[in-house]
Amino acid sequence: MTTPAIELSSVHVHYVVRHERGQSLKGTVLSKLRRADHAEVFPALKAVNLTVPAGQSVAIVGPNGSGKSTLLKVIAGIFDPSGGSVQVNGRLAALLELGAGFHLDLTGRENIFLGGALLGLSRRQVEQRLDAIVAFSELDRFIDAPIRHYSSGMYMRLGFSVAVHCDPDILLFDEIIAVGDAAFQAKCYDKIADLRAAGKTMLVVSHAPQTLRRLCDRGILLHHGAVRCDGPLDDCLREYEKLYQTA
Amino acid sequence: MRFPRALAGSPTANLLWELIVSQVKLRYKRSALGLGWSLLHPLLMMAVFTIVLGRFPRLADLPVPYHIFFLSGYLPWTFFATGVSNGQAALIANASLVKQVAFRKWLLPVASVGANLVHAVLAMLLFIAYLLIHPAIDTNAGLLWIAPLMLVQTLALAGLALLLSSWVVSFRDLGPILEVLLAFLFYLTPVFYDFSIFSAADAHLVAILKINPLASLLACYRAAMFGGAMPVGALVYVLAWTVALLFFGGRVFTRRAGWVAKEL
Repeated sequence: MTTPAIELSSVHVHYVVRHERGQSLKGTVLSKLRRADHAEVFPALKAVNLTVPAGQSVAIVGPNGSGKSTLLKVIAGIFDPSGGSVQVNGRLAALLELGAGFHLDLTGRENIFLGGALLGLSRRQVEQRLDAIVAFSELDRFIDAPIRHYSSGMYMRLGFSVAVHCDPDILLFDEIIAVGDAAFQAKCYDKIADLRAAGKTMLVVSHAPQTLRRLCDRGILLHHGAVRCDGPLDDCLREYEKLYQTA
Repeated sequence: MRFPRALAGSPTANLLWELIVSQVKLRYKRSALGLGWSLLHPLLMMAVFTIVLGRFPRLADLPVPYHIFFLSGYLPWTFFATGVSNGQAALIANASLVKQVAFRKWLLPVASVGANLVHAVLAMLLFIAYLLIHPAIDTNAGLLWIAPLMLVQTLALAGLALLLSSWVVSFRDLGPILEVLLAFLFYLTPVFYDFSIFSAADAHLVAILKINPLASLLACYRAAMFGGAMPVGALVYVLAWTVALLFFGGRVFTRRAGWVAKEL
């Protein structure tokens, strides 16, 4: 039995929602003095257990606010769970927001170096992948221009290229699966299919059932921060529709 | 600047490098003077202080010309003040990054100190060149002390930036409070004056002002610059603060790093 790529055991995530008073010294001191706490604890994930074997691609579905993005962030290690444990085996790339960390005043090339470093690549690794990233993004003519002058499609293409070329073992997608025009989108799907064929593990959050059917076999349905259904994707999608019929 | 090849295999070194380089590039990206600003600013301050305070009897009688004396304090001070001011904002200024990307977050405050170090080194090199050619200054091998002193100051600032940046996430008004404290501290630190200008009657006041580790740091810098003997007591005091800040800052930051992304 090989170690799973992702293993979550009874993961809880709480958000502290502060009403009225902001996060200030004055607010903290005053509320301590008055013994009135304006904070409310909001459970975003409740006792989530999830084991994803290496090479599996899993769709995560659920209504807005059901904890899908929180689940991805806690797996990505952007913050720690409030309770329970998260174990990730392998290099992980989270495509939560393409081009997060890019600077508009830096050139495409400079942003590739910065973006690659943020995704955990060494200098040598970025240098080795530079040509492939530029070629995939089809931005070679503009690579030394500040990305301030890029269209939003060009920006996304660069972000996507950097992320998929960092050679991750595990990919997390939050709605952004394919970017750019139809031709580039097809290229993105091909790249993702290649990654899948190469045995990469994937977690995909999306509201588009066709996309999910194309990429995933297993589904997880989240509802109010708890796993409502975990099984074949079609079962989860059917269960998801039922949520709306009963509501 | 070129990436040090010996570290080409290290992801952490690469990220630290990229964060520092991008900050240095971005600060003056769209300004005509570019890096020149980090040199022009201390020169303008020097001009103002020299014109006014340089005429005060006790300041005019310092063993080194007043404009040189001012810069000998103002360059390390600027490194400190910008380091604190940018360092405390390192997480909140990069909120979208912290919330969307998983990476070693401690590198953000450390890199912001690193970017300020680049400017500080640049200004310091020019100042040292000026000291070497100025006839009124007797420099000696003590100048070499400046490098380790800047390293110690960088480490102390890194500790301070780790501490403050993670606190500011929870207590947003700490930012403006720090700016006020920095303004106070500028006057309480012998940047543009020396403790020697106080009369013997003020010995108690001077003793209190000497608690400030920045006063000790400046004493070390000035000893190095003007060929004096390194004040060992002051150096040890600065080192003790540095170790304490690194330890405390590192501890507070690691405790908070797991949830700052939720608070931002």
